[in-house]
Amino acid sequence: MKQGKMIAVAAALALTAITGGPAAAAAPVKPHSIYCPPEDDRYYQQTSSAWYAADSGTLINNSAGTISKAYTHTSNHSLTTTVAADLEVSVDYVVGHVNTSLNYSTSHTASYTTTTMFTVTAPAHTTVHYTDGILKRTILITWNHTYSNCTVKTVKDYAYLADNYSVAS
Amino acid sequence: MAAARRVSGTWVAVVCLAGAAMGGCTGTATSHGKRPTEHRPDGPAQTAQDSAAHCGVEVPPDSRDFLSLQDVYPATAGTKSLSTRVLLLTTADCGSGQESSGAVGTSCKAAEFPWTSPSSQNSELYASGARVWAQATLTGPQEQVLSEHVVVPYPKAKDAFVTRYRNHLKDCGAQVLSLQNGQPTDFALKGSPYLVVSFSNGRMTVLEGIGPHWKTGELQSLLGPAATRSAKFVAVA
Repeated sequence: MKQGKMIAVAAALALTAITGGPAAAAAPVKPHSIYCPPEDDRYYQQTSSAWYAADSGTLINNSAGTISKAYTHTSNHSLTTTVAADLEVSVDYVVGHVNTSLNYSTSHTASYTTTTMFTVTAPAHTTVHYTDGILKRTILITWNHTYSNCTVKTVKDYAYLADNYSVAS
Repeated sequence: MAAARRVSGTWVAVVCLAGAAMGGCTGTATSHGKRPTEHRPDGPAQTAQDSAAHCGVEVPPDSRDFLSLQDVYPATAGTKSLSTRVLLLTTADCGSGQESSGAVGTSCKAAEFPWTSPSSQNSELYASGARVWAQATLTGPQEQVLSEHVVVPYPKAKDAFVTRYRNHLKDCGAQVLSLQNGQPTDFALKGSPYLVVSFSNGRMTVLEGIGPHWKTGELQSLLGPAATRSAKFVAVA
């Protein structure tokens, strides 16, 4: 996290006469030039996730070796990522940063059709419960915008990210 | 590639075998109930049969659409053999206005399921909605035999086809090996022969282990590869 950096470009100093009579009444001492480089800092936090659409089931492996089974999705679904407008940032920007910072695999649009296949693998003599589909991730974005006068505006709002996702246990 | 054509006032099945030696899509050219007269001697349906009840047209199979001997008998020395056949159950040959009867038989003996049947029951498969029946027999060096069947219904019959066979297997007490959205997709039925069945995208893939050699686990491990390869079989009617 970066903070706005206050830089004193110049500071007025009240100087007391080293010599001489009583000093003249000094003007109020205040900085007359405070500057912060404008910048935007955004923080991403997943607050919840839920399956938007998925196929799920069970694979029972009675064999002594690992088996893999290819399943085909039973319906068509698509979900597009959305970002609250007041965050003033693009979908692709959010997707990229969320994937990098949170190690997810979200995308601008996640989808599957009845021709889309996914494979489930079960080790020997195990039962695997699987779900494969589109996960809708709710991401809270905190946007801190630092102005050049060093004031900071904070906006908090949500993005809803689409993620083609699989789980097996 | 696939379409349905109306010929002489009758809807004629147009069946595609993607990747098969037919070169993709073959329309059944006949519309007058031509009966096949050519049969491969290694097919399972070559017993004495009532030719009047037989229907279907043999087409050249592509062995790549089936399990291979290497899949089934890896690292096993000795003589092995593979035979394959593909039968198109066309409206022209099999149609009799009973397409929706949906007969799947009532027997729980694996050897009496329609897909293992002699040709006299091809019409039964046809009536259940099947339009492609592909079969391979893989014989191992110790006389163990694996029989692979792929049955493909035409699209509009797909759901009913799967439901009927799925219910039949349930009624026979078959073990569920896999579920998707609460519906069984794979079954195992103990008996002789041992049987595992997979439903994928409306297509049914069946493996029968004939003889004491086979166990459910062994057959199940072959079911995935078999179902994947058989995806090339497509029927449109």
